[in-house]
Amino acid sequence: MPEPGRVRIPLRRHIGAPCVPVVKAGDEVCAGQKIADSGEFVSAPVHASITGRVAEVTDEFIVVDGNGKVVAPPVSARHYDDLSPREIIEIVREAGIVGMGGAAFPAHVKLTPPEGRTFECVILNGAECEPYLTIDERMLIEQPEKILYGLCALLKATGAVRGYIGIESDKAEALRIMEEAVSGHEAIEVVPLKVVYPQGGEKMLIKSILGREVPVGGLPVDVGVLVHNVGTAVAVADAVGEGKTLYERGITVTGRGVKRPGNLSVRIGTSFRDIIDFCGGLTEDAARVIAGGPMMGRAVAGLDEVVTKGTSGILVLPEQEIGLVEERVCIRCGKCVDSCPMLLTPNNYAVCSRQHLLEEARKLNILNCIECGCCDYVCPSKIPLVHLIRQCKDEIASEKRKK
Amino acid sequence: MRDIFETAPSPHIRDSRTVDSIMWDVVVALIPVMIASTYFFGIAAMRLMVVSTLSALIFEAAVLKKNRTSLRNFLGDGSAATTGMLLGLSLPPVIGTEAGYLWVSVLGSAVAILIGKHLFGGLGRNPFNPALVGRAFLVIAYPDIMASLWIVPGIDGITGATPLRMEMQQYSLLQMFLGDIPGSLGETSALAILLGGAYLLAKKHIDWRIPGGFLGAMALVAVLHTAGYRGVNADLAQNAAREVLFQWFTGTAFLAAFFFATCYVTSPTTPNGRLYYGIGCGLLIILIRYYGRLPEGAFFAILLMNALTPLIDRCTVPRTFGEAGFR
Repeated sequence: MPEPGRVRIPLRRHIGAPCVPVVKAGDEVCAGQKIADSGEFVSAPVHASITGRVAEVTDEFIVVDGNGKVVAPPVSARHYDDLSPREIIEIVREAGIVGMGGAAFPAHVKLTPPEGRTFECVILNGAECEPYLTIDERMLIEQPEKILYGLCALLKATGAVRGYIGIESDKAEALRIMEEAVSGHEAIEVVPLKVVYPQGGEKMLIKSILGREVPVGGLPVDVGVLVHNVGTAVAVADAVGEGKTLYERGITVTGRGVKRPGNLSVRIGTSFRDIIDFCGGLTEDAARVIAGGPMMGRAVAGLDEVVTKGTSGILVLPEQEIGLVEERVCIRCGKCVDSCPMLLTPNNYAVCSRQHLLEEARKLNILNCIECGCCDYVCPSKIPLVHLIRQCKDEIASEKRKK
Repeated sequence: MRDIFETAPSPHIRDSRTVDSIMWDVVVALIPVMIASTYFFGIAAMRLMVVSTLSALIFEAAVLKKNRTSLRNFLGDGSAATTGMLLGLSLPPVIGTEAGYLWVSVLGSAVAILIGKHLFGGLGRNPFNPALVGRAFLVIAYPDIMASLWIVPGIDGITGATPLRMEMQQYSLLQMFLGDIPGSLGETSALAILLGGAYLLAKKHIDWRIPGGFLGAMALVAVLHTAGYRGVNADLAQNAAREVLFQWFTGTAFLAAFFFATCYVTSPTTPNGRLYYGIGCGLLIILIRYYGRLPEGAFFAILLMNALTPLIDRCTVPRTFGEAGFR
């Protein structure tokens, strides 16, 4: 997609401390230039995504009006072989790279293992986080060399000895292209995965590929694993190989509410309106606009919403697909229990949430819920289970803070 | 182009399966059983099914007091129709042959819907399967009608004996499988029940663990019983197989395993819980048959296990993903 005329770049959309602007209104900036940073470890700097003049600076956003000029970014060709792990991690931080599957957790933090832990392998997630999204597949097909380069850089940075690329088995072309790309790299393996949501969930992916379960309340590093999205690997390759910072990303624009769906590369801070205009606009019956996928994505109230580093897609659903349904009483069918990938009992959480039985819910491991939405999807009584679980988790968290 | 959109918590898409669609699918699964019972017991079967289902729907409508003027509203969520139909299928055909007995089925529906279901708070809150509550009441209140007047298919006569005792030995296993034997309306044809059960399993409405545990436990005890009764010898395999099939195909075992024990509301919600519950039902029914005084224990076996369901649920909370210990 061509550069938009104006971008509104969010300063606190990734997980971690908000960034402080280092530019002021009226400054000239060029694409890729750092415009905000933070001294905190768990944070990532923010870069201008188009060349032009800073129009407005707030605590939340920096607005840049483009001038249409394309300034060739300074090329700094480096190779991961010549860099130390520490240097690679610093490059990743400076480039503002965050997890691009959706969580947007600063990548350099994940690359730094806690005291006393080491990484044994790196898994690249090419399994699409959610139904409808196809951006991972496009990346695998179009940029296999970059993905491989990024994976090698991540292996070097972490000291891990094995690399895996997980791809769902119905993506035949992506599997073939990636297999070809990694041939000759003995430490790297392409793994076909069963096509089932939520295969792209971090914990599910590790279980599928290595047979290991991340302990309750733990992190992948607890089983010696680092998981990154293929999009993140591309960003790492760009940063290490070309010195390019993270100011654009691939997104899927889809759903029956969009006239010309597709996968696009867009600048961070581009409004949904600009993107949807580029995709031919919305259909008459477009009823819900979602940042992300249908299972875990966030419904937005208007098209002024902007693409952040963590936006994996824009999904627009028509009226008939979201048909509002009346909630009914639980008939104890147990479908939610059967569907839960984390082997939990969502039916119990609904009761606990409504009756504020926080201790009971905690004992039943409610905090292990990944909010994937499977239970909610299958519930024949259409009980808003994910919503109830979130409320209960929030209550538990605020009780904990009080203590 | 619109600019303001409604928001809602994720997920934004939902399965098309609803309470109503599941309930009506159970009725669909009962079609082979309805056909078989009409084939073997004639117009009496139809009369009984219509009366019990219709009366269940009327009692349901009366309790809910909703606007039930349209047919769609009258049919409701399908749970009352399912209860009424299952109750009708669990009654002896003699109730349908003579108009003078039809009130028994209406009374059964009243107990099922009013006491078994709505006294406890309605759909989803009843601890016991309503149809079984209705039937249990009738068995205790009217033992003569419920358990001693049996119609032999194809013959216009009433026998005085109870099935599952000596009299059953005169029928072949094939007759039992097809349903050409005396018994309650819906229980005689194992074939028809299997078709319906297979439909429910294929549509993933029921979990194999309940009928599997149920029939498996019955088979195991039947084999042990045969070994103990006839001795361990060369004929054991053949004798045991015959005994297992006899126990499965006679009485209410099949109907209970696929349609009564699998009732969502009154069975456990956890996978292991369902298996233990199924096994419990199977053990109780066969122990009642071998060592109890009741001619048929299926209904009481399930009602007893219904009572244990909350306890089973609590004791079988699955090991969550990443929980230390066993895999």
